[in-house]
Amino acid sequence: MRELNRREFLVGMTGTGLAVVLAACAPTQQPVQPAQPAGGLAQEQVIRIPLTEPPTLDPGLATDTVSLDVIVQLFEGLVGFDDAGNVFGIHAEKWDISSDGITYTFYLRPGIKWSNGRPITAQDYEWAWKRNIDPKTASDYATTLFPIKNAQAIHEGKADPQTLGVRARDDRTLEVTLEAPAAYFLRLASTWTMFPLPREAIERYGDKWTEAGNIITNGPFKMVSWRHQQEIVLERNEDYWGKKPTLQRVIYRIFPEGAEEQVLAAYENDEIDVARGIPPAQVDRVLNDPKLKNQIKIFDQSGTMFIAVNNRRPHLKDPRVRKALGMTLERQVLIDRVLKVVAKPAYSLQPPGIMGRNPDIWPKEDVEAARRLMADAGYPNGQGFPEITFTYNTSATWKALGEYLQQRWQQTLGIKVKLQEMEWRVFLQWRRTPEASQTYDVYRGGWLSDYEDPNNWYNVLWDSAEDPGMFNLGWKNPEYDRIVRQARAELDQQKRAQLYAQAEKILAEEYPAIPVYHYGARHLVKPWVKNWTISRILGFAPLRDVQILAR
Amino acid sequence: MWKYALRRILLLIPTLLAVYTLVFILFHLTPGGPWDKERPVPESVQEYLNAKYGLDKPLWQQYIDYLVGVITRFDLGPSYKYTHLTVRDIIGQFFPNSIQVGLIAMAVAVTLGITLGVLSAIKQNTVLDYVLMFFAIFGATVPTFVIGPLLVWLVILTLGVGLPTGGWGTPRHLVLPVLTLALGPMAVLARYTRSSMLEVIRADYIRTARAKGLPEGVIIVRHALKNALIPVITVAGVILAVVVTGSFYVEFIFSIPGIGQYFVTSVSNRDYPVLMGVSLLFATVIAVMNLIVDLAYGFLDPRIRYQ
Repeated sequence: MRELNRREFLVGMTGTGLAVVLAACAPTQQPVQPAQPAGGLAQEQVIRIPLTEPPTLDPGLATDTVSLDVIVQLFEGLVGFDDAGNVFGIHAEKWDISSDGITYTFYLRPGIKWSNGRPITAQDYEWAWKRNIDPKTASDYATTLFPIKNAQAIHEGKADPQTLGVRARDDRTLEVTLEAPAAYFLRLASTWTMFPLPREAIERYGDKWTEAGNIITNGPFKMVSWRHQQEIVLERNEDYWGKKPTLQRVIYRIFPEGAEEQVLAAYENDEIDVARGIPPAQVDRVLNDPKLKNQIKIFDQSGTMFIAVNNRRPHLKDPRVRKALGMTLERQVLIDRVLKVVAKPAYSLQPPGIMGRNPDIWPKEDVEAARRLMADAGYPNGQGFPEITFTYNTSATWKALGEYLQQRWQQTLGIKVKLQEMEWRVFLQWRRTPEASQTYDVYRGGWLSDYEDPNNWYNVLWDSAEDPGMFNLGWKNPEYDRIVRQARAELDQQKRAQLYAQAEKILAEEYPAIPVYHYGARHLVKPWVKNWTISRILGFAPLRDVQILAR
Repeated sequence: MWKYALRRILLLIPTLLAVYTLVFILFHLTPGGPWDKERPVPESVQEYLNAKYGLDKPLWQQYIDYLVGVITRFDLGPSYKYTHLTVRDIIGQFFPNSIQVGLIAMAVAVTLGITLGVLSAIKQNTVLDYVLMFFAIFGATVPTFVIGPLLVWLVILTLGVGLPTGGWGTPRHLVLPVLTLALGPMAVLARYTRSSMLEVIRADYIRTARAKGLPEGVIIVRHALKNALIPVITVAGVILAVVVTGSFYVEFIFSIPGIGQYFVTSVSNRDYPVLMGVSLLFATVIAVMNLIVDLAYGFLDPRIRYQ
């Protein structure tokens, strides 16, 4: 659901999804550091980071990596998750879950404050959630709140926002009532859509409450200035309740969208300390540059790039055909030589870290077996198989992918492929038109976790009730639907894992879409920046633990 | 002359109305809308957004409402993408930056362009003339998106001159963008000045001036150049209008917070009010520049009269 306004996403990670703040709040994983220059910390703890203009800094409205990059420094919420999937409290000191899984009670810790000095209360949470679910707020991520009682009805305009199942029992106790048990509710509670909001600023300044001078925040950093299209400056929040950042100042320099070459030039000229993504034309030079190649850091992202298949088309209805298409791809070659992206070959549609995932049971790369499957399906050597169309949004990467598929499927299976390119917004609209859903064959798909829970994959993407908004594209399996709907509510983790393992098995057999690769990110980081890391979800960079070493 | 100016200013109204109508029709014909997201936005939210921005009204009413808003309140609408900014904020914050870069670049282009053009003309068919004209053809033909990165690579990354690769705020940030932006106009002006000068210095009155024994400098500057400038001014006016409204490429390459970028990004974002505001702004600037050029003729050539 996020928009693709960061170039690295255009290049390699074009995918989507809501996402969660997990890593923002998690104790930072220590990436391996190259040999340090002079030891010790620098006097000036300032980092300079490239960014594009954030569409919003309102946590209730944010949907994209750029906005979240800044938001997670300024705001935080009830709970967070570490990389291993363990939950920990942030504003919530502790919480209770009723035995039926319906009622969650959060107890806020004392001494947490807004940047204007006012204590953060349970009422701030209640007000924020009711505001975000109100259709008038038009929050794209309001769906995050849907498990809460009445949320969906309110969002559809059928109920009053005041009837939302959330209530501040007192200043420090927040009681949440769900519509039905949702095993992933704490995951959702860690996302920015559920952060508390400063009511006084929003009521006073309206849409302009996020401007410097108006904004009231609660995170490890505070905003100093926001000069649009130019720079955003943050400073350490000395009143922060938890472990304070080492950084004194953060300077986000704002580049125009797509200005990857300029970011690299600025990085090489020491104007900024990191560069996120390497422009495709520069990859070979950077990888062979004796200095730059040692400054590369690779990160995994929770997401999968796949080829969406229209399961309604007569010739694509047969799982044998879909498998054959997937089994002929040489993913490593595609990643390294054709697309030149940072990624790992994907066999399962689910990325690592998602419960139930089991790539071993999925079809492997095997051209001979693929040919046999096509013959079994009645298309020996592609005879009688109609020409299919691969549709993608304008981008050099997807064009290269299209050309690869065209050549590969013709060569191995005798299938002719036509390419169709569309501008981004046209592509988005086209995908949802009824005419398109009847006539297209395959298109470029992808998904990035909104939160690292199987619900965000098995249920949101492949449950037939999600058609046609998501990627199942006419694929229906009643058994599958039953299993994943049961699993989403299952509170017993072991049982839940079993259910999702069954769902994975059905997906591996039915192959509703063709997994291609799991996204990764490649950053350039100056040797004096310590602890630079990014969230596996949406790839934003939490800065609390970042330090600047003496040069 | 005032009557002429007034008539021209009044002509702006149908011009802007035509631009408005054209842009309005074009963006309603463009597939894909501002609310198209990877995950579909729920109907209730779409309806609310459409109601909030008046997109649920019939087209003719949207057409009228915007006009009324602009005329009565100078309200150019909100930005759909950057919800904390209005179109007036965007123009107010970023247009002055584009003007600043544009005016400096224009000053450089005019000064150098005319000087080089005159030099070339009076040294016609010498090595100097050939070198200058080669340079002018280079400047006029190589686009800014090649020159910009080339300058960054050459000046900063190769020669190591201590300039920033981009950004905004100090005079040092202006050096490369101004050079990049000035090169093309300078080359064009140099060529116009040269050919215009060549025509004029062969005229009878120049021969008369020489016969009177006037010093060469006076002949060139006071007699020849003043007349030769008329065609140059015509081009300069148009170039100026283009240059102050911001070059997409120069702003993109050097991360300048200018208005030119919005002409491109507002289309890909389907940010209709921004696109409309920027289109109307550009149309106004270009029309006003043309008017100024036409009025300037009168000062340069007393024979020109305005009816």
